[in-house]
Amino acid sequence: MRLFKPVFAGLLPLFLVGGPSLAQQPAPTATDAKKPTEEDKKKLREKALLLLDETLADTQALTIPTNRIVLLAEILPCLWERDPVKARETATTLVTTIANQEGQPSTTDEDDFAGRPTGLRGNLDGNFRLYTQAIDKIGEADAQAALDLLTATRGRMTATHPDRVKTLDDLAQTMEIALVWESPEKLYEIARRNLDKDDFWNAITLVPTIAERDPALAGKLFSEIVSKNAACPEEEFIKISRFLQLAELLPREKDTKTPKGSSKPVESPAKGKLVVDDNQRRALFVAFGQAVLNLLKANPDADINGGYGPDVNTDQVCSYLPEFQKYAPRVAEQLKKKMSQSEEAANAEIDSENDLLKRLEQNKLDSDEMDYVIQRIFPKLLADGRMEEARKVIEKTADPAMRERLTRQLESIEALKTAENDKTSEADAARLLEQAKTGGQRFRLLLAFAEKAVAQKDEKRAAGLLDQALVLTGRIQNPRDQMISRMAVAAQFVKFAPNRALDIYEPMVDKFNEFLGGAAIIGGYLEQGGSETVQGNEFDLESSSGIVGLLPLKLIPLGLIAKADFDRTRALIDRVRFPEIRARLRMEILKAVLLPEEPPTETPADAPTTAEKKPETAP
Amino acid sequence: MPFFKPAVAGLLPLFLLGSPSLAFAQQPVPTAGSKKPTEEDRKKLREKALNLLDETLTDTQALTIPNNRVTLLAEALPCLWKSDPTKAREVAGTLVATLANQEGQPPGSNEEEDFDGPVMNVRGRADGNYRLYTQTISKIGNADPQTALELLTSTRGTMTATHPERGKYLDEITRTLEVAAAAKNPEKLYEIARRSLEKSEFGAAIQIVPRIAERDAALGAKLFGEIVPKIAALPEVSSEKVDHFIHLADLLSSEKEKPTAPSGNAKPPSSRKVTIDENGRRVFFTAFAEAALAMLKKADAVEAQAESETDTETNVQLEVFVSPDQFRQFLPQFQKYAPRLAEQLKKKMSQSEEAATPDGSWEKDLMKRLEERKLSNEEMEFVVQGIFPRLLVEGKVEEARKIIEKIPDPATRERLTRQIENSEALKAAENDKANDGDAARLLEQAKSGGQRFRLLIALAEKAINRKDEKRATELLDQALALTGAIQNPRIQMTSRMAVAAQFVKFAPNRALDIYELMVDRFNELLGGAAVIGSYIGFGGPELVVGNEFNLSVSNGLGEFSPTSLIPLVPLALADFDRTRALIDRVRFPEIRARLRMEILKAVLIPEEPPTETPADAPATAEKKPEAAP
Repeated sequence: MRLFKPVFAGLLPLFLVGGPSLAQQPAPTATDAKKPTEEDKKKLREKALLLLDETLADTQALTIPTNRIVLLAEILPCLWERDPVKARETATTLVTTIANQEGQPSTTDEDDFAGRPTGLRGNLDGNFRLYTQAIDKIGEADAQAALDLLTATRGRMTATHPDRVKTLDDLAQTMEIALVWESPEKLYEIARRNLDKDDFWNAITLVPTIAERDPALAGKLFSEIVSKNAACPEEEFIKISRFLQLAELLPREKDTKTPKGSSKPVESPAKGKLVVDDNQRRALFVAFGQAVLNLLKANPDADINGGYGPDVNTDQVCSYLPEFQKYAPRVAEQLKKKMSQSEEAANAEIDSENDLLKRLEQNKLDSDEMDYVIQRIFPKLLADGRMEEARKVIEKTADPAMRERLTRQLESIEALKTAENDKTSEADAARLLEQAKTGGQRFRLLLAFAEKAVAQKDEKRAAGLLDQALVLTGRIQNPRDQMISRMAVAAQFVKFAPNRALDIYEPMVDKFNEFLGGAAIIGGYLEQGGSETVQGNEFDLESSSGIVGLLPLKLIPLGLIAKADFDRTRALIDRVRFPEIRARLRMEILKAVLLPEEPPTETPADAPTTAEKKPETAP
Repeated sequence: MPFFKPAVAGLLPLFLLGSPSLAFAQQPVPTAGSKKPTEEDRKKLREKALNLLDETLTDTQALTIPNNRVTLLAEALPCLWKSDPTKAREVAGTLVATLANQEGQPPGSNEEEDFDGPVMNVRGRADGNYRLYTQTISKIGNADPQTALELLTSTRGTMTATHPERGKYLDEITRTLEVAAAAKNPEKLYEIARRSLEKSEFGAAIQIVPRIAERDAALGAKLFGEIVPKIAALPEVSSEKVDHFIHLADLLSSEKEKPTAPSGNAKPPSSRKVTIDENGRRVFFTAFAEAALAMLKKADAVEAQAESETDTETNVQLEVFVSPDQFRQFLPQFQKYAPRLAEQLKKKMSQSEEAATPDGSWEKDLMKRLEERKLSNEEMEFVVQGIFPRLLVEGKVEEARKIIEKIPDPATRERLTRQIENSEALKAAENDKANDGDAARLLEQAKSGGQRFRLLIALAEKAINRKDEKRATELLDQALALTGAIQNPRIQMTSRMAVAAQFVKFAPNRALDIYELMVDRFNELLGGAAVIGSYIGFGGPELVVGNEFNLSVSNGLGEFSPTSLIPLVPLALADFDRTRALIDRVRFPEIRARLRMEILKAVLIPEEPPTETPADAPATAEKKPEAAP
C-alpha cells in the first residue's frame, strides 16, 4: 500500500510558492573591496587545499556508499588542481568500484517485509548514472584520463545493457573533442564520423567550434550537413529542425552585405557565427524551404512545429522570411499566409480578452471567468503598464477581500516603478516609503532603492536602506518568508559588503539545521528508486535533492563570500549539522577558489560538457 | 518568485511509497469477538465519551488558528447533538453566523504576502470561508437537517451577495437538507422530486426515488415512471443520459417481485428498490437500450475522428465516459424487452472488445527482442513492471520464469526470482488444504526474514478465520519478533502495523500494545512534518502556523504520521480508556482532536452518517430517518 501518496496528492499545489525576485539574481562580485594580492591568493589556495583534504576524509566516513561516490566524483576536478597523479589514481579506483558494482544484486531482506514493487528502474539506472557522472567529472579535469577509464570499463557497463552503448559513445566523443579541441582537422573528422552515422546533432554542434579555428573547413562541413539532411529520407519536421539549427549558425541576412560581383560578405558576422558564401547560404535556404513546402503540402493546416517540441516552430521558421524571400520565394509566400493565420489567432485571443473585460463591466462573468481575469488578465495589464484598465478590473470585482488585495498589488507595482525610476529624488523616495501601506510594501521599496544606491556606488546609503529592510523582516512570522526576505537583503550586501551578508547568513544556520532535522525524520519514510531518502540519519544525496531543495541554500552565493572571507564562510558551512550536506556546500567554495572557472555541468545528452571546456584546461 | 518550485518538482516522485504489507491495516476491521457489552457497559462508555467531548471542545477553543476551531467545532456538532440538542443548536447558530459575518471581510493585516511580492492565486483563500460554511451546514444537516435548513436560509444572502455563482451549489445543499428533513414523509419527498424534475435536475430526482419507495412503493414507482420519459426525451446523446438510465436500472427490484397495487395505501416494502410492471419495464429498457446504442455509436464516431486528427485528448476523454462493459450486466433485460436493440448492442460490444483487446503482437515482439537483448530501458521496464507481475497474478509462473531467464541483468533477475518465490510461498500458505506440517515446512524454507514474516501473517489470518486464536497469537508473536531486526524505520512501522491489524480482529488489547509503542515515532514524524510544513506555502494560508497544523489545508502533512491508519473505532469500543490514552499522547492538539472525534463519533453516533457534499451525493439525504429530529 502506498502509505504517503494520498497525503501528498493533496499537497502538490501547495508547492507553488513565491519569493522576492531580487534574491535570485546572480550577485556580482564585490566591486569596491580591495583587489587580492598574489600573496592573498596563495594563502586562500592553501586554506582551500586544507579544506579539500578534510572534506575528502569526512566524505569517506559517510555511511551511504553512493554518497561517498557522488561527493568524491564532485571533488575530483579540485583534486586534479592539486595533485594530478594522485587524482588520476583516485579516479581509477572510483570508476572501477562503480563498474564492479554493476549487476550486483541489490535486494535486501527488508525488501521482503515491505513486499517491494517491481519498479527497479531507479536502482538499475542508479549505478550507471553514477558511472557517467564520475566519467564526466573526471573529463572536466582530464579528458584523456576519463577516456582511458571509460574505454577500460565500458564493457562491464554494457555487458547486460546494450542500450547504454549510445550514451557511452556520446560520452567518449565528448572526451575526444576535449582532447583535440585545438585541431580543427581532427574535430572535422569527428563531425564527419557523426554525419556518417546520421548523428546530425553532434555534427552540427561541432561547426561553430571548428569555425573559430578554420572558417573554411567549417563552411565545408556546413555544406556537407545541408546536402546530407536535404537528401535523407526522414520526416520533414525532423529535417526542418536540423535546418533551423544550421540557419542559427549563420549571421542574419540583414547583418551581412555582399558587394556586387563578390560572393564574400564584407562585414564580419557577429561573434560565434559562421561565415559562408552566398551559394552555401542559398543551398541551405532552398533545401530548408523545400522541406517546409513538403510539410505544408502534406498538411496545409498543420502548424509547422507539428507538436515536436520547441526546436521547430512556426515563429522560428517565419523569422527567416527575408532569407526565404531571397532564395526560395515560393516558400516565402506560403509562410506569409501562415503568419497571417497566426496573427488572426493572436487577434482572436485579444478579442476574447476584450470580450471578458466587457462582460466583467456588465457583471456577467462566472467564477471561472473571474478567476481568469484576476489570474491572467490583471497581471498582464499590470505588466503592460495599463494601470487604468487594471483599476477598472478592481472596480468591477465584487468580492471586497479580492478588491482590497488587487488594489494592494497595483499600489505596490506603482510604487516600485516610481522607486526604480532614475529621476526619483531622495525626497520622492522618502515620500514613497512613508506612504507604503504595509511592511512588505515598504520592504520591497527599500530593496529597490538600495539596489539603485549600489549601482550608483553609494554604499553608505545602500547599507542604510538595507539595514532598514532587515529590521522589517523581524516582523515576519513565517520562517520561510523571513528567511527568503533576509536572503534578499543579503544578496544586495554581497555586492559591496560580503561581511554584512555573512552577518545575515550566520544566524540562519540554526534554522537550516532545524529544517534539515525535520527533513531527516520525514526522509526516513520517503522512498525513491527503491531506497529511502534518509538512511540512518544521513540524507541520500541522490534522492533527497527534492526535500533538501526546499531550503533555499542555493541562494547563498557561497563562492563569492568565500573569496571575500574564506574562514568565516567555512565556519558558516561547518555549523551545518549533516556532514553530507556540509560536504556539498564545501564543494562550492572549493570549486570557486581552486578552479579557475566554474565548469559547465550539463550531461552529454544536453550539451557536451567537456567540449565546452576552455582548451587550456585540457591536458 | 517561485523559489521552491524547482526543488519540489524533484520531490514529487519521492512520495510514491509502496508498502503492501500495510494493506492489512487498512482493511475494515471486524469488532472484537469478545463478550457482548451490557446496557450498563454501553451507558458507562457513553458517559466517558461525553466527558471526552466536553474536554475536546474546551481544548479546541485553545487552538490559535481560527479555522481549526471552526473546523473541529463543526466536526463535533453531530456528537454534541446527541448529548444536548438545545445547546448544539445554539452552538451551530453561532458558528454559522460567525462564518457568514466573516464573508467578504478584507484579509486583515496579512502584510507578509507583500514581502513575497504579488500573489495572484487568491481563489483558494477567497473560497476558504465559503468552504467552511458549506462544510458546517452539511455537518449540522447530518444531525438536524431542519436546523441546517433554517441556518442556511437565514445566511445564504450574505454568502451570495458578492458571489452570485454560489447560488446553484447552495440550492443543491438546500434540496439535500429538504430531502433529509422530509425523510419520513413520502408525499413531501415526491413534491421535492417533482420540483427537481421540472428544473431538469434528473440526478436529484432519481436519488429521491428509493427514499419514497421505502415508505410508499406505489408513489416511488409513479415517480420512476415519470422520470423515464423525461430522460428518454433528452435530445443529446451523452454519458450523463446513459448514467441516469444506469442509476434508474439499479433502483429496480428483481423481476420476480410483483408490482404493488397502484394505490397510495400500500404497505411499505422492506427494500428501497422500485417495483414496476412489465409494461413499465419494457418502456424503460427500450429507452435505455436506445440511449446505450446511440452512445456507443457516438463513441465510435468520435474515436474515428480522433484517430484522423491524432487528437489524443479526445481519445482519453472518450475512454473516461463510455465503456461497453457498463451495459453488459443489463443485456438479459435488453434481450427480453428490446431484443432488436439488444442484438445491435451485442454486436457493438463485441466490436469494441475486439478493438480493445490487444492482439499481443507487440508483446510478442517485446519478448522476442528481450531474448535478443535488444530492449531499451523503457521496454525492459515495461516487461518487468507490466508483463511480469501480470503473469504472476494470473498464476502463469512458468511464463514468468521464462522472462527471468532472458533478463541479462543479474540484479533484476535475482529480484524477480525472489518475487516468484514469495508469491508461490504465500499461495501455498493461503491454500486451505495446507496443514500445520506444511506451514512449518514453508516457514522453515523461507529464504529471508521478510518472506517468513509475510508467511506468518498469512498463516495467522487463516488461523483467525478458523477462530484458532491461540495459534494466531503464536504466529503473530513470531512475526512481531521478526520486525525487531528491521533497520528501516518505515518498513518496521508498517510491518508492526500489519501485525497489529491482525490482532485487532480478536485481541484489540494486543493491538494496543503495539500501537502504544509507536506513538513516540508518530510524534517524531509529526514534529518533522511541522518543521517542513512551515517552509511550504502556496500564497494562501500557511500549512503550519506557529507550531499548529492548519487543518483546512494541511490534512496531508498532519496525516503524515500514520495515526490515521490505526483502526481507532474497534480499539475504542474494546477499550475506550486505553485508546483515549493512546490518542492523548499525540503531541499536536489539533491532530489529537481529530483523532478523538473518530472515537467520539463511533461511540456517540452508532452509525456514522455519510459526509459527502451534495455534489457527490446528498449527505443528509442518506441519513437514516430515525436520526432526524
